[in-house]
This record gives sequence, structure tokens and C-alpha cells, in this order.
Amino acid sequence: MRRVFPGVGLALGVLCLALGVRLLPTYYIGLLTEALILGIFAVSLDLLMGHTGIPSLGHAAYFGAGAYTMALLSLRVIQNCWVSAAAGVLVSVVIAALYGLLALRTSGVYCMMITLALAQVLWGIAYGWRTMTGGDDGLPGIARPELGDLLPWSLHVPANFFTAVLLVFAVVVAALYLIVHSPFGYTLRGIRESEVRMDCLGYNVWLHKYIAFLIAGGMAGIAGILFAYYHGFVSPAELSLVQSAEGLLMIIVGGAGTLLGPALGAGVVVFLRNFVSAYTERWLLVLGLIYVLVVLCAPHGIVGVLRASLQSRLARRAAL
Amino acid sequence: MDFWIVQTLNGLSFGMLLFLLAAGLSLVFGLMRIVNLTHGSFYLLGAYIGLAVIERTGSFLLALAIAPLCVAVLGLLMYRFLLRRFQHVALAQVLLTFGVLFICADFTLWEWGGYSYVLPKPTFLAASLTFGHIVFPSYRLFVIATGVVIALVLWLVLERTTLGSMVRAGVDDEEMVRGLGINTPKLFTAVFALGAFLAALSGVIGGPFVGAYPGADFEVLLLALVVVIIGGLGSMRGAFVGSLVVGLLDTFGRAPFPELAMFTIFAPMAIILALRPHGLFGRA
Amino acid sequence: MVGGKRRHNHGLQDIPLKKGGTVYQPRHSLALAIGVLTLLVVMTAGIIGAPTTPAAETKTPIKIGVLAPLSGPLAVLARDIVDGARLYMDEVNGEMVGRKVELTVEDYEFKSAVALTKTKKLVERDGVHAVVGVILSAAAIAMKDYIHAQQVPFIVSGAAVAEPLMMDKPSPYVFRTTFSASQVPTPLAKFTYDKLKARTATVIAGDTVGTIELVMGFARAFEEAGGKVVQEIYAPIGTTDFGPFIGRLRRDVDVVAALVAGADGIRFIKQYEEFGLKGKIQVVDTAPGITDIALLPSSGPSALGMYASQPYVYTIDNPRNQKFVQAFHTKYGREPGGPAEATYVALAAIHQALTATGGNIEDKAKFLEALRHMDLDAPRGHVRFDKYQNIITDVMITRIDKVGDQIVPVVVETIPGVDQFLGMAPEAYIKRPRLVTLKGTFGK
Repeated sequence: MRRVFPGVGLALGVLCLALGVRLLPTYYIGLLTEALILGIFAVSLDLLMGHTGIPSLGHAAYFGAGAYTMALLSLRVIQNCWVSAAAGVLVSVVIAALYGLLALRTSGVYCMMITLALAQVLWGIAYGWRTMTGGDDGLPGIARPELGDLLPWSLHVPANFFTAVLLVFAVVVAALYLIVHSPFGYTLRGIRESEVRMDCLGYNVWLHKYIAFLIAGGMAGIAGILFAYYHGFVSPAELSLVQSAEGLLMIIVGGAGTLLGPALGAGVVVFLRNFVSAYTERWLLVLGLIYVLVVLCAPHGIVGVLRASLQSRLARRAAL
Repeated sequence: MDFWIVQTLNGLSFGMLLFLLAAGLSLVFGLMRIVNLTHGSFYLLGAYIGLAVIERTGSFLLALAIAPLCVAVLGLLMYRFLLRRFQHVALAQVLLTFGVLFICADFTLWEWGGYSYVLPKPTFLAASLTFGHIVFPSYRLFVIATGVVIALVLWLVLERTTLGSMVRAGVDDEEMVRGLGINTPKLFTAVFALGAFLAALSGVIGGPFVGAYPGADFEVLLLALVVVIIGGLGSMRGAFVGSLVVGLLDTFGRAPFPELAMFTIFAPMAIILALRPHGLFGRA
Repeated sequence: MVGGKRRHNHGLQDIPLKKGGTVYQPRHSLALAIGVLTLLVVMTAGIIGAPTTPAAETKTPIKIGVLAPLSGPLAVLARDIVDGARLYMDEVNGEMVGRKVELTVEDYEFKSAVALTKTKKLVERDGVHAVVGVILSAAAIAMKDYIHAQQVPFIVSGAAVAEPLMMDKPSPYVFRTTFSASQVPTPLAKFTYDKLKARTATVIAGDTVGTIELVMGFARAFEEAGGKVVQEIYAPIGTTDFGPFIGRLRRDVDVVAALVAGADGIRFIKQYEEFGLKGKIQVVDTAPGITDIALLPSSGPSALGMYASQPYVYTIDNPRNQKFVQAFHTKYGREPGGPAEATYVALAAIHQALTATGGNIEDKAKFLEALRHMDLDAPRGHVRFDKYQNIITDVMITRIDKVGDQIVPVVVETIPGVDQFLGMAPEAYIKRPRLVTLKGTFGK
């Protein structure tokens, strides 16, 4: 029953959202779409940080790599969107494979610095290699896939695109759920708690971390590709430190190490950003304050806070 | 020949500016293992406050004195009230300093607007010097000289004073230092404030040719990070060598190959990371 | 570290809670339910203030979005865009053809990605009927597809001079009241060759499509006139230290043709002087880069002696302009620059089109048709759009002189009625390679 319930819950959630969203104005459908896409990004980073304990300040590298690869292929080389999207995911996994080799040689702060530096290398290439990537001008004109032959719906309709993104999100979350509840997932959590212990118990710690790195990188690439389709535009901002740090914030706001916490965090950040900037110019200030306050007051995020209150209420009831 | 001389001098002046920037970051990281992402904001605040002082009093020297002090106080408060409780939690520090970065960025945008400012040079340094065919701004020579002087002062303090030895010992083993009865919280607060001081100083000194504008905090932070990664976290020598390397590479690489501009900075960093993850002079 | 003891100090779980935290067991299903609920709550909170969809009624206010890079290297020019728009609003008392007109100003931070996001906000959340402004060509290009799909008239009035904007995949919704990359530098190139007697040139520009195209426009015209461009130098936008670039400048050229915009331009011209080149090698501004009136107070003495090519300068001597400059000066305490006049013209164009449609902006086809027929007595002179919706304008060659104790752009020559196709038939011109593709082909 406990195994079935989440699956049913997920399916129901997907159905409700897919239908309910058609009642909303397009602006809000857009925001939800963006929240889901960034939710995939945040959730993939959480696999790395929250579940396995590998601190990464350069997760945007895979996000952007996927986006740029897909964009460059679909704008310059191939008409087939499935091929360019698949290539995008492949490239982000390859980059994760390369970067993982370098990053996993260190730990803690050094790991943070290295991941940051490696992401900056990609950023520097995107920014500087103007003839290829358009530099800071970016790559405009990315068209969404035409489903024409397969299905009668156009992805240019916001509600349809949202549904497509929602489906991808659901698949990613389901995959993560399976990973987290598998022996592999438990090993990852063991590694997070103590690498030395797991090593002594005979697990190949490095390999587990590396595989987690690859999976997280690939999922981030998927998010990047969806992001490029959504905006129709890619720029070096997708590879920047700000993007990586935003992912971190989403994890912390939502709750690290939980499954959907980071996606929740993504939703909160996206909505807050748009809500706040409609009323004041001082969005950056608010964002900075959120970073600071969340770390000071609620480092385990929304889900953590909810759990804490639930836990204490249950404890109180048990004590009676 | 002229070309090489001018470009080398350009590279050296930029390198020395980078040293001023990176020294503070390296010190803070080396001692406290704090990745201070607010470092760039200290630079920018120093530059803006320096600008305000110059506009009001006309004195560059006064700006050199006041701006770094103000920012050092800010650094002190920031460390004491925000960072100290997360002394051993690197991720919290990253997020906190990132948050303060955004807050400072918005504050400076609000206070000084979106304009791009270049600080006025002090009149006694405004001229350009001529050697034969070469005309070179004397201000940049001043930057080179200042960088060297400050490097020497820092080296003297670190190597020859008790305070310096406390800092060096703290970098090596904080627990032992505490065991020896040294008040590490006070020491750390002082070093953090010093880091902020140096960053703001580089803001005033760099102001006349790098300038103060929204986004400078980020750019400067990235450059400082590159220098510190190449040189090795926690090493003054590394910061000095690293900044010269980056300064020269950037100058010689940027102009002929603007496509590779960022690459000339990040590539060496990536190579060093691959070969020596702790930088040229860093320690594990 | 000594002793081999290493703390796990990098985990999120290690962030200390208040005393006495407990170890949690994942309760995913509960988390899912709570999560969806919270998201719904946040969403509903965000839906406060539903966006207005353009109503068919003709008495609801007309909303115009003004997109300007209010933060970033061109912030000073951005001010001009906003002030030009507000001046026009003042003159018509906030009304056009009996309907109230509201301006919504957004800052795109001189970044294309932000421009796109802000445009989406303006169109979808604020429900604007038209958008004006934008300086960065790359931003305008990034916005083009979206604005075309959303069918919102967009009058580029900041600069955004790149050719591809109007010539590649032209959109009936995009107009431009500023100038194109060939329109303004070409007369200057001829002037430089004929009157300044320059035979060799180095071009230097910011590394973005708009500025690249401007110097390429100069380069092509200069070589067509008989000159030779021997060197191309590009500096990334936001470059503060031009030392390395000035170091590379060849010292044997007759003229340096520049387009380094905004704050970068100020730094460039100052450092140009510091390295001893002022007075040795003539600098010409291929469009209002350094010589834009907004920047002259900062670049000041370093810019003296520079020639420039501009579609608008406040010293133009006609009664309409004098009235405009007077009004602008009274309201803002400074002289108007190019973006101010172009935005003023953009709003005047909208007004003129509305007069023709009887105040109806919702009927896109009718409104666009009326807009195409713009025919105005602008401060710069008589203006109208060409077949591809770019403005046809006079071009002024100016020189920065000291008049009394003021630094002033003095008009030296006027070339009337220049269009983006340089007099050729549009289709023939469009067959030529876009200026940006010429980058790197000179000086070989």
C-alpha cells in the first residue's frame, strides 16, 4: 500500500494540474511551466547534494550544456527535434562524466570551488566564442517540437506545452523515487552520512558517487533543454553561477534530501520572483534576504518546517 | 618592441589590481575556509564610497583611507553576526555570502543608480609619462607600485609578526591554535575584516580604470576566484603569482583573441584544477 | 589537515537547527500532498491582480511598454528613452484620441535574456498594446519571435541598429525610428575619405551584433570610397580596461573608426588620451557612441575634435527641434540625445496612427497599416518609414567642439533622406551579405 500510494498520488496530481491549468491565464501557465522546469533542475541537484552529500556550485554547467547543444543542433544542423534533444541530454551526461572525474577527487569546500570553476569554463566558452554561441547575444529563434504527425496538439499553446513539461517532470520524479528507494539510493544516503563507514563496509564509494553525478547531470540537461524550448532563447546566463546558486536556494527553501521539496522550492522562488517584481524594483534585495533568512531560520526548508511541526504535534499526542 | 613593453605594463598593472582583490579572499579562505562570495561586493562598495568621498572632498587620499575602513566595519559585523555561527558549515556560508551579495548589489543599485562610474584620478597622478615612443599613464604605474608595496607589507606581517604567525598557525590547524589559548573568534573576525579592507582598497585603487557599475561585483568576484584557485587557497605567494599570471594572460590573450577572452582566464584554471586541485601553492 | 580528523562540514543536514533536532524518516506521500497544497496556495496568492487582457472597448486605457536598459553600461542613454516618452505624454496630457495612455517602464539590464522575460511580463501580465525602446540589437532580435507571435506592435526607439532585425525574416509588427547599421556610418565613411582625406583606418567596436555592424557599415563604405581598413578590434561589452586593446592599435593609420557605446566608450576615449593617441590619430564615431549628448559630460575634454555621424543632435537648427529641446531642457535640465528624440517620435507615430484609426489600437491590422503611413515633422526633420518599416532620416556629420566653455556637437554637414538600403532597391540590398558577416574580413 505504501508503495502504491505515492504512484497514485503522483498520477492524480498530474491529472489535476494538467486539467486545472487550462483555467488559468496564460501568464500563470507560463510561470508554472517555468517552475516545473526549474523544479527538474533543483531535484537533480538534490540527488547530488541532498541525497549523496556532494556539494556542487556548478550544476548549471549541465543545464546549460544540454540547452546549448540542443539549440545549436536544431538551429544550425538538424531539423529533427528528437535527435537534437537526445544529443543535448547525451552531451550533458558526457560533461558530467568529465567533470565528475575532476570534482570527485576533492570534497567539501574544494569540491564546491572546483565545480564552480568547471562551470565557469563552460560559461567562458559560451560567452567568448561568439561565432559559435552568439556570445552574450545568445541564440534566439529556437522552435518548439512539432508533434503534428503524432498528436493533434501544438506545443505552441501554453497549456499544451505545460502538459508536456508536466509529463517529463512526472517521469523524472518517478525515476528519482525509484532510485532513492532502491539499494543504490540507500547506499547514497549512507555515503552522505559517512563515506568512511561505507568504504569499510565494502561499497565502491567512488563509483556510487560518480553514477549519481551522471544521473544528476543528465537530468539537469533535460531541464536545460525544456528551458530552451520554453523561452526559445539560450544565453550564457543558463551556465552562470547565479543559475547554480538559484538551484541551491530552491533546494534549501523546499527541503534538501526530500523528493519533491526542491520542486516546491522552485515553485516558491519562481512565483516570488514574479510576484515581488510586479510591486517593487527591489527584487534582488528580497532574494538576498530570502537566502539569508532561510539559512538562519529554516535550513531544512518548507518540508523540514512542516515535518518538524507535524513531528512535534505527533510527539505531543503520543505523550498524552 | 614598444608593443611588448606597453602590454607587459598593462598586464602587470591589471595583475597587481587582481592581487589586491584576491589577497583578501585568499586570506579569508585560507584561515577560515569561508568561500566569501560577498568579496566582490566589498570591492564595489569600496569603489562607490570612495567615489562619494572624492566628490565631496576632492581628495583621493581621503577616499583611500575612509572607504576601506567603512567596508572593514561592515565585514566585521557581517562575520560576527552572520557567519560565525556557521563556522564549520561551508554550504551555509556560501548561501549567506551569496545572499549578502544580492543585498549589497541591490543597495548599490538603489543608492547610486544604474550608471557606470569611473573614479577620478588624483591630480598628481593624472598625467601620462613618456619614454621615447611610449606613452603610459602614470596611474597604472602607481597601481603596480602599490600592489608590490602591499604584498610586501602583508608578507612582513604574516611572516614576521606574532599576529601573522597566529594566522598561519590557524590556517594549518585551528584546533591546536585554540588549544594554545588564542582567541580564534577574535582572530577570525579581524582577518575577515582585513579581507574586506583589502577588497575595498582595491575598489578605490581600481576605481579609476576598472570603475564602479552594477555587475562589477560579480565580475571582480569571478576574477578573484580564478586567481585564488590558480594560486592556491590560503597562500599569499599563490595569490601574488596567480594574479600576475592571470593579469598577463588576460592582457596578451584578450586583445588579439577577443573570442577567447574568457577562455584565457578560465583555461589555465581548469588545467591547474585537473593537475593540482589545490592550486600552485595551496595545501590540502 | 593535521591529525587526519576531518569534519563532514559540507552537508545541508549539518546546518545546525535549534537545540534538539530529530532524525526524520522520509514520508514522501505526505510530503507530496502537502507540497501540492502549498504550491496551490502560493499560486493563488500570486494570482492577485489578474492581468488585463486587451478589451475590445475603446475607452479602456492604452498601455505602452517602455523597455530600457536602466542598469548597466548604457544606463545614461536609457534615461533618454524614458524621458523622451514621458515628455510626449506630458505634451498630450496623457491622452491620445480621447483615450488615456499609460506607460509601463521596465529595465532589461542590457541583457537579451532579461529583455525577453520583461517583454513577456509586459505583454502577458500588464497587457500592453505596444512596446517601445530597446538599445541592444541582440535584445530586440531575441524579442522579435515572441512579439511577432503575440502580435504586439514594437517600435524600436533606443538604437538596436542591426540589419538582421528588419531585413531577415521581417515582421510586420516591428518598426524602427532610430537608424540602421548602414544608414548612419556610410555618409561618415565618405566624409572621412573625401573631407578628412583619410586613406587607412582601424575599426574598433564593442563585441555585440549592433556595434559590430556599425563599424562594418563604415568599413564597407570606406573601402567602396577607395580607402583601406587595415585592422579590426573588438572589445567585449563591459570592458573597463582598454589598455590591451589600445596597445594593439596600429599607430600608422589615418583614422580610428569606433563604436564603443555607453560607459565603455567613456573609458575608451579617456584611456585613448592617456596612452597619448589623442590628436595623433583622428577618431570618428560611426554613430552616437561616445559622442551621444548623454555621455559628453563624462567624456568631455577627451572627446574634443571627434567627428561623428548622427541621425539626431540637439543642435539641429529648425523651429520644431528648438521647441523640443527647450521643452526637454525645461523638464529635465539637460539636452536630449538620440534615444530621447527617437522615442518621442515613436510615441508621436503611435498617436498619428491612432488618429487615423479613430483611437482603435485593438484592431491590429488597421493599426499597423496606419502606423506604416507615418509621416511626421519630427524634431530632426521630416520622417517616414520605408517599405520595411525602418525610418528614413537625414544624417548629420558633427564635430565635438568647444563653444565658449561648453562642449558641443556642432553640425558640419547634413545628408538628407538616407534610408537603410542606401538608395538601392530593397530586394537588391537584402541580397547583399548582412554587415555582421563581414566581421573579420578586413585587414587581411
